[in-house]
Amino acid sequence: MMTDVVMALIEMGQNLQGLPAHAKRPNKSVFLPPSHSTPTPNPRTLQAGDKMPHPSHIPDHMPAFPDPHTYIRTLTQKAPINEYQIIREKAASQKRDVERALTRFIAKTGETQSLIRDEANLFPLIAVTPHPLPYLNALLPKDQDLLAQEEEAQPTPSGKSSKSSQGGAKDGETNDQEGETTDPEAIDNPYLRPVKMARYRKKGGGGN
Amino acid sequence: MKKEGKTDVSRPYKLAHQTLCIRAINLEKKSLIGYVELVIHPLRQDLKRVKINSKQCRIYHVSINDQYEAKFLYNDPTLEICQGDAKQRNLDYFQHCHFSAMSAVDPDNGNGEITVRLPPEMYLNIAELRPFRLCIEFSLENPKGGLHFVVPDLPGPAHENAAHVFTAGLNNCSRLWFPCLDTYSEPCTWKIEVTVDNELTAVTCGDLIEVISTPDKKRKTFHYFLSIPTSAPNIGMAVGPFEIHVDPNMHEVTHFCLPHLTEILKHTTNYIHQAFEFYEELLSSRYPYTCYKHVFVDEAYVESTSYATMSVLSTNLLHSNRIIDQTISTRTVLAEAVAKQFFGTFIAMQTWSDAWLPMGISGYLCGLFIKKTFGNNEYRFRISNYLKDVQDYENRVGGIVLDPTKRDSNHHFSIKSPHTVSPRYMEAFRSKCFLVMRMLEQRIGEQLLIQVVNKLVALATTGASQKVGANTWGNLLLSTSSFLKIISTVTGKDISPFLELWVSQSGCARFFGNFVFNRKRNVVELELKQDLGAKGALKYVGPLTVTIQELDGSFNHNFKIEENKTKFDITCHSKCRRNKKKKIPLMTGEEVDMDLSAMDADSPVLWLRVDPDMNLLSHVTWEQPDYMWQYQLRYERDIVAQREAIRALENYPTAGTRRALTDILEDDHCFYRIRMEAAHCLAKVANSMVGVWAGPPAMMTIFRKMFGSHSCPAIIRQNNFSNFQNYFLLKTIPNAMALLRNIHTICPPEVFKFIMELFKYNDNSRNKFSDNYYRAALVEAVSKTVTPAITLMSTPGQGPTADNLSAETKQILEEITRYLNLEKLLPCYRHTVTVSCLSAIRTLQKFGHLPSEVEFFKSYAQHGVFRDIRLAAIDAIVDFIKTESRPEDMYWILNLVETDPDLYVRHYALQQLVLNPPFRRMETSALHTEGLVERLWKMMNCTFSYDSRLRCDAADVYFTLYGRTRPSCLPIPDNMVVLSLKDRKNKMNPAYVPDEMEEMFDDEEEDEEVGMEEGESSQVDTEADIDVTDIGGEEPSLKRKSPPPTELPPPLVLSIGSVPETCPLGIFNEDSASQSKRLKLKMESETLEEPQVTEPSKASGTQEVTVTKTPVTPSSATSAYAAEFLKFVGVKQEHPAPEPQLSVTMDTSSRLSEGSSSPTTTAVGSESSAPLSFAGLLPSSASATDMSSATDSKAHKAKKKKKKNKHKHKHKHKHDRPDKDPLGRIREGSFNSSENSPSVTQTTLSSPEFEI
Repeated sequence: MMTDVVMALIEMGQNLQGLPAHAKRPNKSVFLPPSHSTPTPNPRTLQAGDKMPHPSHIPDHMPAFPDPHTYIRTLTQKAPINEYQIIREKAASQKRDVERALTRFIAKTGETQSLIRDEANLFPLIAVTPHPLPYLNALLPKDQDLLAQEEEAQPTPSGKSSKSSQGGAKDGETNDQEGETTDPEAIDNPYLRPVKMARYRKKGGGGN
Repeated sequence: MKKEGKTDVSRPYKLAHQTLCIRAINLEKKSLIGYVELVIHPLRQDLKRVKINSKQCRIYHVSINDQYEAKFLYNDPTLEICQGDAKQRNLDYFQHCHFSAMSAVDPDNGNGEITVRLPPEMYLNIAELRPFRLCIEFSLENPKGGLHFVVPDLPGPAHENAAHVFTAGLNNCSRLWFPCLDTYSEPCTWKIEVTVDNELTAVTCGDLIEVISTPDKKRKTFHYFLSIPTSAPNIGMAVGPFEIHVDPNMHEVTHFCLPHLTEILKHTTNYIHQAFEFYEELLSSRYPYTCYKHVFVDEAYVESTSYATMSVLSTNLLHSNRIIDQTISTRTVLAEAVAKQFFGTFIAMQTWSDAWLPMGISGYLCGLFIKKTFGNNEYRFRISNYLKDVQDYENRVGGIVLDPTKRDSNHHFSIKSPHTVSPRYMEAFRSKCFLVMRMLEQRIGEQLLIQVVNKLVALATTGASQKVGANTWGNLLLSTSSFLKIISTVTGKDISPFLELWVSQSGCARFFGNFVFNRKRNVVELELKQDLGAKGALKYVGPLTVTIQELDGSFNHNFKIEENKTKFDITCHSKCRRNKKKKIPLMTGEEVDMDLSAMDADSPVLWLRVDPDMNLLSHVTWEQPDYMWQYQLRYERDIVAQREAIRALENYPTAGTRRALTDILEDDHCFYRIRMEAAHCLAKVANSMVGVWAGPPAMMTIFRKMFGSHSCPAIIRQNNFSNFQNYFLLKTIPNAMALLRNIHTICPPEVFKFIMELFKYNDNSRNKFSDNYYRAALVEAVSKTVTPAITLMSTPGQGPTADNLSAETKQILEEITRYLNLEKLLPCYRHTVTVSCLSAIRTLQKFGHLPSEVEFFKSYAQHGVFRDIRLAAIDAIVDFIKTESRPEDMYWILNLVETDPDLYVRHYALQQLVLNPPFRRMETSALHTEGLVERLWKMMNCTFSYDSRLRCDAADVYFTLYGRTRPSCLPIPDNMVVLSLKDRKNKMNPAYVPDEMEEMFDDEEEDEEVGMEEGESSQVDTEADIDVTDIGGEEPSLKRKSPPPTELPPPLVLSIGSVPETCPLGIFNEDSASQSKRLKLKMESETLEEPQVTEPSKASGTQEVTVTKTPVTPSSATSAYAAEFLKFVGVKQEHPAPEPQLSVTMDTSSRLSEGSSSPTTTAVGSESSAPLSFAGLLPSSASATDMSSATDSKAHKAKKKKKKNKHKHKHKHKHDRPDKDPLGRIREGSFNSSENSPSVTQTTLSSPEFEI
């Protein structure tokens, strides 16, 4: 017999022998199977698509599936003929609008130059401002294509950071600069060595 | 390799070792202080004087063996080239003076700015030829050349602002920052110590031995030792708050960059070990030094300068891995810098005339590296570029002589000194060196040449390891004769005819040629003529290769070019009958199918090439039918041949040409640079064929096919630059298309629209690489579509107003505005887009689509903007000056040239003025004024005395504007005597100078006992003479020329004349002058003079000191001096002196005064090491002490003697003049630096004429 069931019943404190008796008790209530009501057929005109038949594990008496469009994506139109073109078009104009809005805003709020005298508003240019370290901006550009940069950013730091973390333990201030790159244990480079303290020497042989 | 005999004649001692100790550097004040110590081995027992090079430094004192003070004399004729010459304004005169001034201090002639007289106590020592130590204490303040301080204008300590300093100069510039023997021919070992603040790193030549903290722990000293003998010009230094990156592949290589740049530094340098490996393998010898350092600095003087064990490079070479274009050029520059470590610093030139050897060999080695890295095509492409550059230069400007010992050229500058050579010439010179070295490779074979080079390195390495006494250090020097010798030893070949032809002679062979096929004889009859009349042409006699491609294959024929022979025959191998099926063998051994329908059925010749391997420096104008050029373009595998074909096909606008070019453009097996050239050529062909051109604009279809997206070819794909060939084409094709013109000679509207759409659809979001160069190329393309506006505007120069801008202009401006603005917010790498935008705006202005406006560009040209942008703005401004001719703009740019902190920008501005001059000689222009002449003259004459590059640039500008003769806008002076230049040359022979000077010097000392009041020495006279001319500004030439009626040869006078400023201290900037003045005040309490002194100091920038206001104080010696001058002037003067000259004079006088004052300092400073006047720079360790009166009297005496002696020898004409005695005395005082006369304090000349 199904031992699990038996065990469960025993654990619940039921008497197994009493089961047949209980099943055959005189006035037990009986469930009637539901009567087969004929489904009201949808008006054909309203039906969209063919309903799916029940899969095998669903009894037939269960209600039929609703019309497919209620749970499956409905194609309301054909795919655009040249989707790519439009996306590119949109992306381009969006980008351009954003850029233009941004630069115009900055130009309006800051100092400007103009290519045509007395027509400051026609093609406003943000005025050029000298920078004490002009090369920094030029060599470390903030490019607009951040997406690609992000993708790329992944591999590089991991490769380099492993190297970089080890450097800086020992030396004094030189280390701040050197520490990043190298492992002083492994590399014998005079620039990585610590600064020595002054010794007392007789004062300069030469010019002193 | 050594030729010691030659140089030692003029230098009777040998340098064994030099210590350079920089004891402090102050970045804010742009100053440093230190000393040098030279270990000198006398070679002659009677050595009494040692000559040292030093400019710009202030020298405190000179001592020998720490025991004896040595007297020294300072004399630098190069500060002012044409001294006191009022009227001479022709360039030939300047050139002669310039060269003789340079020779007068050239250490290879045994000269130097400083003459140290050894004290008599040393004579014994020297007689035994024992080495001695010569110690010179010096300081340097606000240098104008040689050493460049970059101090950003930011609050806070300098090291946090990335302030740094580095050596900046080309050849023989070390004298500008420390006293030395500034010649390549005197190598020695070095100990270099640099003490800097804790935050800074000092990088210099040699091995870093240790870094020692100072006792106060605020600073540290970097101790370097360079055991390989190195000459002073190869000593460099850089100090700054550098970030340090040790090369992970080679730990002895260290890279330094400015703060925040380490990441890109790592990327930039990550391949450099390959260069080392390549060279070591190639030369089969180790890198000669034990370490190597790269220092990347801002405002670099040139992209890269090489010093022993280190290179100073421009920080703008750094790039990230997203950058394509810069990678190529940076790698080339870095590789060449490494090659220069072998040839250039380790093995250096013996003299300037041997410079072509190290330059050529390092260029050649670098070329081989390029060949390996970028491929043979790239290598050959570069060769053909160099060849073209050299040809163009020689044809347009003049000949290049690699070894100028035998022949001089007829340029407007002397090619015999590195300081007088035009920078443009040097560029072409460098290319020619490389080409000649490569030709030599072909002459003797690559293997053998490498063996020779290898031998040179081996010998040098052995030589370097010996001690100085072994006399092997000459192996480190390379000269033409030693090279000749070693080639004959290694290879058994005599290359002297080769050298005679290409090295000691200038010019390129220029051939004209054509041919016909003689069917009967089955022979190609060739005609080759040389054009000997053209500028820069060389008469070539010798072998010449001609390659013929026939149906049956490719064959080389060697001809011997002889005089008067122009006809040659080539017998064909092939029969005219051709087998259609047969493939045609090429030079490379490939066999290809060709469509032979285009060719002449009777002839088997496909094409012919003259000198296919570029064995000669030659320019060939070759005629052959268009179909041959087309075959050559399609099937010849050598890219140089393809290039030639493309150039030739420009002249054959036919359908066949169009097809050939299109096919090449599409052929991805073809070298990308050829495809790029084909694109440009196609544009030209299309324009010529505009009437018959069918189909869409040229290249439109190709472009869409290559770069259009699949579903919609009209829209460009998202950027993906991983195929570099396509990347370069992507940049090029729009540019080429922009050159298309329709029948109305405007750019076809569809092309314009096409380019605007490229702007619109540019999408770099998925690209691994930056699109900055691409966007810049687009801007460039759109500016090329612009054609001159059909102007309705009446007022010229006004340009259109906002209302009548054309639609295209508005569209262009829209894009440019957007890009320019965006650049301010999201700048791209090196601001390439801004650069292109600026030039596009200038194009619009020039073609009348925009009002011409220069202020806009001036704002971009200011200091503090990134250098590339500034250069672009300067281009625009120079162009503007050319069209508008407004004097204020011209003076604006000259002002920039004189004052800008970035030396390269100054140089660039002058070069632009040469390349795009506002006017040329004989042209009329509003700018053609006397004022401009004087301004330029002054620049070359004295303003740029510390930067020979700028000086020569200025001379180039002068030449471009006025030619060699006197500018026509100048009035002809009444008393101007036409000088024969030949005479002048003779007189100016510099060789006389030193001797005379020295004699005087000696005389002085020997005669110390003579009474003070004796007559003037001739030397004094000379000086006076010159000075007078200076002041008066008139008729100096006359005076100089008139030979003194004495035994002395005329040159003496002249040369002396050219050396008037005999101030012992090398400080000519007014600042220093003021300092010395101050000192004097303290010591001598001559309060009177103070104000006058300080005045000049304020006007430090230009050396134009306004002295006018100071009254003449007869009491002070100087004023007497001045008065004397005036008298002279009065006597001789016929015209009031023009202003520039005046300023010059002031100059001299201030120098004089400094000179005179400095000895005081010296005397004081001799006990204590630190100079007195350095208060600002450092805590001065020595206090100003009182001057000993003894010194004074001594000085006076000395002067007297001098006078006497000179009297005897020299020019008597001066004696005739009254009032000389006091003057003479003064001058002497100033002359001899070690003796200081207190009375000589006042520098300033007071005369109304001196007002500036």
